Amino acid sequence: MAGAAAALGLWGALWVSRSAHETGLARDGASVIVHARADAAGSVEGFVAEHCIRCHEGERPKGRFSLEASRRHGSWLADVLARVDARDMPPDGEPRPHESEYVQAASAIRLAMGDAAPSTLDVPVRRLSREELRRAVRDIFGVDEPSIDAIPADDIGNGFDNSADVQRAPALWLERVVEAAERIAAQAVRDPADREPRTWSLGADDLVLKGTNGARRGGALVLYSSGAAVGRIDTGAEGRARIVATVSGQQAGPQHVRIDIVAGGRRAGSFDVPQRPDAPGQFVCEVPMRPGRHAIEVRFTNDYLDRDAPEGDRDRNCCVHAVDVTFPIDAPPPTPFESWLARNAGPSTEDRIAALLSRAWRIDADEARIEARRVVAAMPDGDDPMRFAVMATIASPRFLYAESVADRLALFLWSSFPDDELMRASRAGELATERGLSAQVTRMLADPRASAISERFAVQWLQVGRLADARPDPARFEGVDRALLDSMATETVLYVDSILRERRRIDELLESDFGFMDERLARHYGVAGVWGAGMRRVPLPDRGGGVLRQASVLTATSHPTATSPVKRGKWVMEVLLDAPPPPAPPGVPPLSASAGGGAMPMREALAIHRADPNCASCHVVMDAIGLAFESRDATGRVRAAEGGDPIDDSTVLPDGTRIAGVDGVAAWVQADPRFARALVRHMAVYALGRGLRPEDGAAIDAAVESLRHEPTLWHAVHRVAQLLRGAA
Amino acid sequence: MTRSDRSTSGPRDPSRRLVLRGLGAAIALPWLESVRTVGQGAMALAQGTAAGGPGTIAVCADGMPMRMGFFFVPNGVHPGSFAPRAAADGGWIASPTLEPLAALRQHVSVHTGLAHANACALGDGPGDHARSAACFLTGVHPVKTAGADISAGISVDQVAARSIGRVGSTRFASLELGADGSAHAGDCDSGYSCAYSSNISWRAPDSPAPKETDPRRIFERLFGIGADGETRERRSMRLARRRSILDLAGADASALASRVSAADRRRIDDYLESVREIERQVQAAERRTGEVPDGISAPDSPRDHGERLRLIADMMVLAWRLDLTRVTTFMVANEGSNRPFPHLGISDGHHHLTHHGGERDKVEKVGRIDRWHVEQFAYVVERLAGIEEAGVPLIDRCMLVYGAAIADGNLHNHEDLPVMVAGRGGGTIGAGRLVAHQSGTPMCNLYLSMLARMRVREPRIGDSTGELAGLS
Repeated sequence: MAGAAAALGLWGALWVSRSAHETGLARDGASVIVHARADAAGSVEGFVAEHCIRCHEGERPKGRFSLEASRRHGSWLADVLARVDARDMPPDGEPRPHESEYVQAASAIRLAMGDAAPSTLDVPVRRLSREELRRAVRDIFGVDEPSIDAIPADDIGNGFDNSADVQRAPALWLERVVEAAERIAAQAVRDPADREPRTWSLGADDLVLKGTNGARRGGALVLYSSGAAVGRIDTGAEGRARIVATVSGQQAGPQHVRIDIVAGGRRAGSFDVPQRPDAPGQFVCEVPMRPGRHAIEVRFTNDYLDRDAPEGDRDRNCCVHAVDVTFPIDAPPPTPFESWLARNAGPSTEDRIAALLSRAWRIDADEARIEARRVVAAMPDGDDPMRFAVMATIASPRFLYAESVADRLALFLWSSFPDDELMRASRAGELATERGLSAQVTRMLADPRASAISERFAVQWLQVGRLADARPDPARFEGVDRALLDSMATETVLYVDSILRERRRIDELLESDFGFMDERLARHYGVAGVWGAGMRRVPLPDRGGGVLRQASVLTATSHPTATSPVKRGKWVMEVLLDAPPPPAPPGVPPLSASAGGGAMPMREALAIHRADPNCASCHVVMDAIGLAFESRDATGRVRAAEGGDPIDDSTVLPDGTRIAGVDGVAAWVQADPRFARALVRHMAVYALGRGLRPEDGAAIDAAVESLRHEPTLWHAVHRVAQLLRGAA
Repeated sequence: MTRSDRSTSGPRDPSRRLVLRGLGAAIALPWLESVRTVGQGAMALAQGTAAGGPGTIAVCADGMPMRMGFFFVPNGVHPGSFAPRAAADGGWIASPTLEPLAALRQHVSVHTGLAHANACALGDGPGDHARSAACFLTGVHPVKTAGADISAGISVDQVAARSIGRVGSTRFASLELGADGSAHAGDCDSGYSCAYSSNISWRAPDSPAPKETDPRRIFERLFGIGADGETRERRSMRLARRRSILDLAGADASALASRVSAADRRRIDDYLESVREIERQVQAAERRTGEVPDGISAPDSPRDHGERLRLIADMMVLAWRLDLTRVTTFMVANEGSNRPFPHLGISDGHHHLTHHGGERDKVEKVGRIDRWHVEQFAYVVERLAGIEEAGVPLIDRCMLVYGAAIADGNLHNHEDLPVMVAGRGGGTIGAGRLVAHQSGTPMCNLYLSMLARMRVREPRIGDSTGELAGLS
């Protein structure tokens, strides 16, 4: 234990720092803190001497970082802290401090710098991302509006699409938002003009024969045998239609003419028609109609012919004079938004607008009433007030920007806006306390909307979103089409969702005994007994589940034609350990070229790659991890051989650790304290909507630490949610 | 391969044909007429050359509009198959990659020796793809960051757009077009935010101008299509409503800006700026009387990559033809793109292939992709050359740059970039020539010369050292 002595010293400093804050301040705070800082600075020196000095001093310090120069600048504490927080120094291959040493060093450095550990963090005001806007609109207006797709996609910053750091509000973005708002308003609020009933008057000339001969005679369409007179209407909406058929009969035999009136394939009424052609009767029925073009039929159902009967009682025919259809005859069914208004607002326009603003802008009733008057005053003459209000609501920064703790909590857990209960808790001050906020998190995680965490956070963290750009070579991977790629992504979403909701250990993200698949994905994996297109949970014995084995991750980290051990290794470092390897220098010869252009097994090719000292420092680790995935092809299928050569998926890390296949990777990552850290750090970036800064370190460390006692994804979400209490 | 995407010849599906009908010579759409109905500036432009009026910016010597465009290709090129040979008359003889331009040679000059020094690492380590896209039109060395404090420069197109927007010559100060949307996940290149590799147009150093990637949406934006058969009353109600809503939103934004921190205010100001920009567009729309010119109809949004690119190119040509804008950027793909080209028989990704290490098969494929991109450029040039505007081909009043900020995709070098300029810039640019500049000449010198021809006077842009010699 080379670092033990230094670690002990730091632990002492940490202890001093606690006592300084808890007891010293009350009495002689200033001097105690000064002493504590001095001690801490000494401890940092110990850590630096142990782990940093050897490479970063002298004429030619490694990485051109000189501790002496850094001291001269007065930035050395910050410089060391940045590396300690990132856990990327000392580099792999050098003796590394234990995780607890890192944590203690970070605390000591902060103390020496005089940073009081903030319990909550700076949360920037930011606008909604396109996906958040989509969900907020769905929740508030009950509308899935496709024109939201026309809003430009958000740029990615720090790995996520909700980053205030890179987010801007260019004109094109606002233009599209306003256009989407117009369409949302039109869907959420029915236009009364669209519900004016209209009448189709279909005379004999407008009707056609179906299934029978006949003729137009005396202003009627005469059906000679069983069949129908058919007219067409286009409803364009849902509603009730009234059909008035003017019909008569050339009567014969024991019965009168009988008809069925059929609308859109549905029988709306059956009638006896005793009338004769000189005095036709009217037959009325009402029927619900779906939107679209529909046939309206008058069916003649009891044809009769007796050639031996006397003239006048020989042949029964049906005469259809006219069909009049009026649509719609009922009041329009309210939209979900209109129903919501009816339940939550008074009858006046101003009441209704105030209710909308209170919900959508997350403001209290009094303020909402004032704002509602403003909106009404701005409305152009003759406009539909509710439609105008919906548009004005959406286009305002009060809708498009998130400010409060409640906003940020809802965006984190639901990718949408707060509901009434969260707003109540917020107004009652409950979100300012750890307990109050925690109670809301527990409630919100039980809501179906919490799948946003897997759909938005996990998909981006695990970089499964890259599947959208994946185009596996159809010649090599037959049947891997867009639909299958979508199923792959869905599996990962459902999987992470179940790890979260079932309060499973974060270890199980990597490895478990279940997965999710539909028939095609199951066939892809070679799993038997899954039928049909629905995704469902499938048991996978022998720890066969987990993201390391999911086709989503394995395909997203492959080339279109072949696996990429380098990309897979990089993915593990970057995503699971938050230790991204520095990227390759330019001009580096690729594998096949350095191997002389001939075909050779991946393993040998990579070995040559690593022989080049330029490449070796990073590739020894990346390649070793990536090669352990070689039993999976570029679309995530299990394979035993590649190009006739059997797969060898056991590798050795620079420190001598042996990794045997995907099992080995899972075990290795699970044992690495950087895994829990990586999860918390990525989740914090997503929740805060910004990149992490040095001053966040203490709060992040505390969250990671608490995962040791309760290592579930559910708990991680709770801890990260607490970081949001600093929001304005 | 059932559909030959290598051909740049005529349209295939009916919807596409409809779009093109209005572009070519088949329908003689008198340009002034079209400008009178759709644009607003050019008619006034011919007369209104008073100081500060629309006629003072982005016009040729004859008072007609001058257009400036940039056609960006990712991952550099393979120089061996790109470089043309010099012809005895000062012109160029097509290389394999430039062969699709052979028949259009009289419209296109090839420039060698230009460089983007600020796309180099300069101590920032890897990340050439992100840097080169960010540097391509700015000439500025971008700040290496995954998110916070993102900063490139203001790009040459946006410098021009700002001047044009100020005098209100056209409905859109600029158009930003491209084939790919933003990246889907993760860090795009070696610790650089994806904003760098997916944008070449930058409104401000910290603010890229996002691009349009869907032909149909571009069309709807150009022509402001409302619901089918919208009545005049409904349309004017829609515009009035939009104006009121922007008023309210602007007031809300000012109130919000006054109660947040300085750092947060930056993001709200952004919003306010956009409110004003859209107000300007609404005003322009209210002045407009006509609708979509006859013979032009909305395109589809095809899945096929080549079809989609050419439709986007059609939209660019249409916008220039009708004087809806005079400044356009077009990213044929995001920098670092790893798109495979199955219709060319290439199932490996583009970026992956460019690191070919000299392997013959890969080099050949890179050459084929480069050539295909040149075909798309040739398609634009051909369209512009086929439209007559006041007695000359439209291309003669254009300056359209083809280029990349990486020279050789295998080496990631940034000198001796592949650069071509199509069009004569209203008679101020010599076309059809091979111009060899001294190696290391800043690419930005070309931009500075173009800005001067747009009548936008800037002392410098990026790392420019003066106007480019040998352009005229």
